[in-house]
Amino acid sequence: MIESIDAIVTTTALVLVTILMIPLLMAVFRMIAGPGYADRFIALDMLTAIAVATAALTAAITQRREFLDIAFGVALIGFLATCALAALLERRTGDKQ
Amino acid sequence: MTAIIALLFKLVGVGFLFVAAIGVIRFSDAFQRMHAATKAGTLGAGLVVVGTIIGSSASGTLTMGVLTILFLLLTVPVAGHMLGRASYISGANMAGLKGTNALEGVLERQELSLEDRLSGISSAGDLAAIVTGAMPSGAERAEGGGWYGNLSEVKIGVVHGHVDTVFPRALAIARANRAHISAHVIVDEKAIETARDPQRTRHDIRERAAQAMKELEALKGKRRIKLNVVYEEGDPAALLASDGTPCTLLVVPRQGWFHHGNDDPRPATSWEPDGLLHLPQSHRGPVLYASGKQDQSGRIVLHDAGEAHLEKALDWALASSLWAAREVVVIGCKGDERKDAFKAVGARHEVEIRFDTRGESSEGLLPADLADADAIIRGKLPRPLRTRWYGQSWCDRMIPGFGGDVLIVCE
Repeated sequence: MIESIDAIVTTTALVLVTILMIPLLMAVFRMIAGPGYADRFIALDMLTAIAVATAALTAAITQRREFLDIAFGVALIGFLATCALAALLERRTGDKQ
Repeated sequence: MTAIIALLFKLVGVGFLFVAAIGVIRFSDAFQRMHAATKAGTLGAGLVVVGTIIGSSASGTLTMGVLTILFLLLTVPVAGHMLGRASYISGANMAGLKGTNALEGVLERQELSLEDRLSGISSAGDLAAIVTGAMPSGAERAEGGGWYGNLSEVKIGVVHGHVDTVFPRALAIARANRAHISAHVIVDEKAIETARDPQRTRHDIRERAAQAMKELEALKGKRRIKLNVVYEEGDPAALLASDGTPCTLLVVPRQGWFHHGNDDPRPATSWEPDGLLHLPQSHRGPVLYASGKQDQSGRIVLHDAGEAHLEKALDWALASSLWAAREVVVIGCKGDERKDAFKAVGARHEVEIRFDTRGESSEGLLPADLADADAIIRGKLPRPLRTRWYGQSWCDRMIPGFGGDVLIVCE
């Protein structure tokens, strides 16, 4: 019984990771299509959230808690990236100098 | 049981992420997309992590998971706020948003988005021109005369000894119109060719041009101005000319020339460089002869000699706020229809228009009591094209003792 529930949990998590690829593709589309820099940075934000979720699901699938560390790390990098890109967006004047 | 709850959490979390991604795809501008990505995205990721914590039996999962969620909750609002603020400041498109702009006057917002600015469009006028395929011009001034658009470039003719009058003036105008500013230090080849001692003259003129450049640097000082300084040798009229797109204002002193005061007496000529007065003919666009007048009277004289484009020229000059004008005295205006046209321009810019019936005297002089005016606007140059004529400067030949600017707007 317990084994079968475990198997179901693992399979469902796997399915969920697969499903998560759809939002991932959507965010990637937004990142490529733009049209503005702001849109691309927001798509990056979205990608970070999806990556955190994927890492957490992988932790559930593999039963290894290290993947949660990865989720934390990705969240951290995502935050720093967004801050840096926001600063870039704010300060770039667009003059080619 | 816990496995099922964990599964539920994960399912809901993935659902939120899905919805967030759809929002990022479907919403029409960056700010709405941000609303989807930050809120629903965080909630989704957080719920998935919660599901993992519940479903996991491994030790340490709880600490790391809670840390991750806490971190997400702490950072996402900050990052979202920063990104939103940056998008607003950088001029990101927010066409999809309705209602009043609550940040109007709170945050400075760029007129154009970053990608437009990077692609070399310098003003909204340019953008409209690209969109409509027309020459840059204001919407209501679209017909005829290509350059009557938003002032987007200010060129300074740098002449040794007159930098301190011209530069601050040009800078103020460029700032008021958010226009690009460039300073042109030019050495007149013709002055060298016709000199008795070309080599020495060339050396002297170059030296003075270098001095003018130093003066310019000193005036600029430590201010952060994007000033483009160009040094050239050749025919100043050709080098300073522009074809009228984009709208370029040429700012030069009222006297002097690009021989930079080095008038080595030439054989068989009474050398007096009149090139300055020829500039409006080669340059398509307005030419401002800056005087460096300090006390503002708020009065502007419009010398009307029946030129058809004068009304547009006045409109342009007032729109570009070249002077703090309160009153425009129109001289020589004939016909009620024309007067009404000027009045309409005045009303648009909240400037009083007064018609002076006295007209010019037989010598072409304007009434002497207008000598305190800030500027004269003319549709063509005063004849003859001599900066000095029988010992009188060309400005004195318009109004005796006139100390203000002259704006020449040729068709």
